[in-house]
Amino acid sequence: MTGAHAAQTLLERGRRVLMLDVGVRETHYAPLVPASDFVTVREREAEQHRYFLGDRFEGIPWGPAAHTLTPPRQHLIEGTERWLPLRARAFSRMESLCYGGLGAGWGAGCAVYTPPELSAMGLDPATIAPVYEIIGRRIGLAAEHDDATPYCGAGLSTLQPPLRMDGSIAALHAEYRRRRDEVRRAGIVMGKMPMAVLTRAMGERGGTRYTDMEFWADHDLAVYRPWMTVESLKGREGFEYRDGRFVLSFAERADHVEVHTRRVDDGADEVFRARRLLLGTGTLGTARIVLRSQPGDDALPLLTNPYCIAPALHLRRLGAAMERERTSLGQLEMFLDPRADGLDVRMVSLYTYRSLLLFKLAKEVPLGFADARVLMQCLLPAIVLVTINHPDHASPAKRLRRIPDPASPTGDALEVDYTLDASEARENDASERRILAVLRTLGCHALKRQRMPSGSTVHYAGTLPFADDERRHTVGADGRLAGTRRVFVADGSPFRYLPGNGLTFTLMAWAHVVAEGLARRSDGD
Amino acid sequence: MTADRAPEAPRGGPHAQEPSEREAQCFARYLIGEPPAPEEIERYRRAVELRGAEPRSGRDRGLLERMIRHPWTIGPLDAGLALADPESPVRFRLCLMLAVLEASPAHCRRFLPAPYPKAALLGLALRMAAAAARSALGLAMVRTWGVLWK
Repeated sequence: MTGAHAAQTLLERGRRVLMLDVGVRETHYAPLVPASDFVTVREREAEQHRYFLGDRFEGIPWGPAAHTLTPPRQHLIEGTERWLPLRARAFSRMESLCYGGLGAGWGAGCAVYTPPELSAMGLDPATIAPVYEIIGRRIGLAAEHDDATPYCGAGLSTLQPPLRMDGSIAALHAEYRRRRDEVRRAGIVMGKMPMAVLTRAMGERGGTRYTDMEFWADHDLAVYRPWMTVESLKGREGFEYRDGRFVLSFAERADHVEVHTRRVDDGADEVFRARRLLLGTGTLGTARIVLRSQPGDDALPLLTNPYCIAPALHLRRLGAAMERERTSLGQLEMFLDPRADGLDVRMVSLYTYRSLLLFKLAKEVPLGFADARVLMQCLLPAIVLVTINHPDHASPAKRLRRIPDPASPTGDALEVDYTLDASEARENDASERRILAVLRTLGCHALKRQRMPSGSTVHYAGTLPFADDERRHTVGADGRLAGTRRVFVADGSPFRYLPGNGLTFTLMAWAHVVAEGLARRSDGD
Repeated sequence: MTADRAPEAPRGGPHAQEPSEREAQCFARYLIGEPPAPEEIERYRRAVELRGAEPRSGRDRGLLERMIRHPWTIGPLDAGLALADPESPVRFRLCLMLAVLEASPAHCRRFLPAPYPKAALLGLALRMAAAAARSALGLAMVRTWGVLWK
């Protein structure tokens, strides 16, 4: 995500870019998934089991409820157990070595952070705010101005029409509009998050046909994926892409940086040289590279959004028809601003459920499967999945460190120790209760709250926090890693605070800022 | 509902490790009231093998054999395990069969939502009352397996 946008910015400013990547690709299932909508596929396609369940039935989750990737998305985590070992208790991480990184499975939410959130992260609101518009034009945004705009879309002007809501979510939104004042008095607003989804064609990408297949395929390229940017850069002069390379570490020399890599196919080591190195491997990946390059016993801070899923019943929708044309992506958001100051805002996404298949819901019901199937089939039009994302602050109980691991091809692993303190857990609990109480007044009743393991949001930050005093393992305001002259960090590692809203849009904006600063430097710097 | 119409168990009894055709037939009839197509039976066999859904304990083997010999016990035992041991390999096998059936166009009406009148909720409530009774019976059966019966 960050690498793609930093590379684009550097190329646009006339710089030459070599991108090193492992670049795992999915070529097995993608050709099998038809371009049809989900219901048509279900009704007609004899081979649907191949991509819905997987040729090795890897798409059938078993065990406690957790995020699971569909077979066509499982390449996201291919090779990570081997190359990116991580030891932790009760921490669920996801990292990727795939082409385009975690963005290949991203939910497409593009949150513009509030100025207090940006300041708390260590970012300058005046610098970042205009960049959101630049990135939005690159990737295409579907959005509208509504009550939620101050929390997720302020300042955006180039927008496509918003994604249509399905009947269930539209009915909830209509109820919100009827009770708007009452809900706002509870500190909550409802509206639509800008989404990196085309609703009209843009260049070679088509507008969404609402096929409800977003978890299975990239139909019409309507949902933005970072590999699309890399593909488009490949045709440009000055851009070179080398895949199959795992970056191990760097070493600064007088006038260049050496980047030490290992080829994933044969394990051969290769060294690349560049005037400057820009790290955009994701917060955990960058921590690995930096800790190998600047070794020591240091523990680094770590941020990740605490997260809860509450399956809910929207009673008015019992027995209603579900539209053939709909989206599996988030359709509507709620924001709880506990102190009305734009900080520590809780973000709630509302989803309806169909395309991830009924058996996954039936498995969670404490009944026999036959009864659970009938129950879930009847309840499906009324099910709303409410996801509540909390902000995260640094604390000594949230750390990671590099440890030796002789079994790993890199000889090391990350060890994560992440614990929320009691006051954070209490505040999160109170916020969840407040949000679910408001949803109840709108006719949507939570059945339970399932707190997901730490790390489940796949939002990580804070390992190399911003500082201006050259302290070891910190990053300057221009993205430069302390103790180096030529190494820059373009991902979420420097963010000192993690807002509840997803950070992906801000990651892209930050990568652009770092790359622009880099492009402005003369080669003698 | 139609589980008792499944084919007879092969002579010598069902083999608990590799799913028999009878197991697939019994499970499909229990889950959706429809027989599986031959390719779905084969797919189920492969799913059990590839996902390692073999019974791990004597109790699991015993319960699985009981279900196949007496298909009327599948409902209560599944419901009992859902409460007592939801991650039992026996339940895993049922989940694999449910997934195989769902990912097949032949049975999609058993899985895709369809509009229904609000009055149908009464039927659903009755079915759930029966499900609760099945759970109670099943829980007693699972808890007393090996003590009162085998």
